[in-house]
Amino acid sequence: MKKEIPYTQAIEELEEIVSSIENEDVNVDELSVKVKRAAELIKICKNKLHNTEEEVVSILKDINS
Amino acid sequence: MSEKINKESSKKHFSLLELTKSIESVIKKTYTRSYWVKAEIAKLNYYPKSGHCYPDLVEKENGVVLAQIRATIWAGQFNEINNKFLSVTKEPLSDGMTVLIRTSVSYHPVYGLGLHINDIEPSFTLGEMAKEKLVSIEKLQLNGIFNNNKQLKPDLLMQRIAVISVETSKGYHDFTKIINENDWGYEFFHMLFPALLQGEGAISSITEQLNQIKKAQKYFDVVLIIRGGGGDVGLSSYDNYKLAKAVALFPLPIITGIGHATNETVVELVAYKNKITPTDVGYYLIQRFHNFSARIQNAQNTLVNKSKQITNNEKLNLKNIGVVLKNGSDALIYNNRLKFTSTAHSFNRVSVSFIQSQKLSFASLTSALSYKPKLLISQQEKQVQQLEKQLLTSVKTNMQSSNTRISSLSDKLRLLNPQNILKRGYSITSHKGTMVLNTNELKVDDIVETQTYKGSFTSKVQSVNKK
Repeated sequence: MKKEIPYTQAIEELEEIVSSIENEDVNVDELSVKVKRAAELIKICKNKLHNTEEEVVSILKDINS
Repeated sequence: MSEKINKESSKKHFSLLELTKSIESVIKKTYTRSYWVKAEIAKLNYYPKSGHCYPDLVEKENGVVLAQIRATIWAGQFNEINNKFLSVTKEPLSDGMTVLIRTSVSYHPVYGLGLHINDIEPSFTLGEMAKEKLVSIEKLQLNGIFNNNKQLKPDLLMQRIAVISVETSKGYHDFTKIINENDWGYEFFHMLFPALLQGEGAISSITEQLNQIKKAQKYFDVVLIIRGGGGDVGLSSYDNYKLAKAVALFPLPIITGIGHATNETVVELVAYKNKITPTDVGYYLIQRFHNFSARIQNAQNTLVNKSKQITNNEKLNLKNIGVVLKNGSDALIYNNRLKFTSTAHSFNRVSVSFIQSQKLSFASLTSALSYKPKLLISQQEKQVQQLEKQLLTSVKTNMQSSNTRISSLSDKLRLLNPQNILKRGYSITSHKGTMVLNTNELKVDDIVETQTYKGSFTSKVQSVNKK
């Protein structure tokens, strides 16, 4: 599985897609590709709001090193 | 004071008490009233049990002690002095403070020289504190680091939080409640780095925890210094240059919520954000989540609306194209129908005449057909009749010639019949049923039979004449 892009990058790409669609730079064929990509990015961003992965153990290991 | 003569040494001398008493009286005469003195409390030495306080007072210059003296605040006065001090400076009397004391000088033969503090002017210390604050700010600005923490570009979400606080404090409790029980399901990770948050010890305690967090900075987005329930008291350490510098230079954004309503301390001034209370810090972090969430939502809404619009436009276009296509094809169909109808008419016409002509030729063919076979048949019939006749004639002829031959043959056959030959006197001799044609076949005494025209007889061979 490819690594998910950082959420900051994700929202920037998302907003780029939105603005390109807003400017109607896209035809219907591109539109479906872009909307699909945007949906993925939205999922990554929303997921970020509701999940963290930090582990106290690894933090303590760094502090005590 | 009168000198005595010691017999043994023959030197004049005083007793220690005489000397100290003398010192005591000189001091009493010289220092007849109270004096306002500026000094630094090197160590407060307050004994809560007795209530007495024995501060070590110093004067320093560039860290070097120039003067030092022990002082006393008796229990009866300490509370009054300290409370007044606290209400004005928001700090209790503590180590390291520069104070303006009203003191008398006393000397006691046993306890020695000391100062009796009977009052402390808090506004002086306040001024000193303000001065220290100003000095800290100036130094930070001079070193160009005042805005360092403010200018950090933190991640959009401050999700992983290092909290410098006291586990049992109300402020820490308020904060964790807000972020742990948020209604939007936002998830935070936070870890407590406990520290002293007020008084002189706070400076080193907080600095030390900042150093710890720095080691693990990749795990965190933000550092909070939060404190609550302590009122406005004990904040002067947050004006300390060293602590303020540590905050200003910290690689992660620092948000303060040290809970007071008066002038901001230097630490608060240099921090990335000062949110005053731990509760507000919690709401601030949640607000950042809201902002991020709103960006996603906006993007999503725009995406949906705009895509719908584009799709609808495209549908309209297609519909228009469809109408054009329909109109065009209708016209085309109509034209072609017209053409087709006229073609059909002419086709009809042509084909009728064609059919008629075909009918005609067919009729002639039919009549030809019905005539020709009759002719053929009658021809064939004639031929057959003729063949019959020929056959009959040839058969008759054939029969006549056959009859002639047969009668001649029967004549011959009649002539050839042995009866006829026997009639003419000939006889046939046979031996054992076989005609005897050769005498070689016979022996003497053979019995032979001889057939004549009428009857037969047997005879015995007497002799054989062989040929």
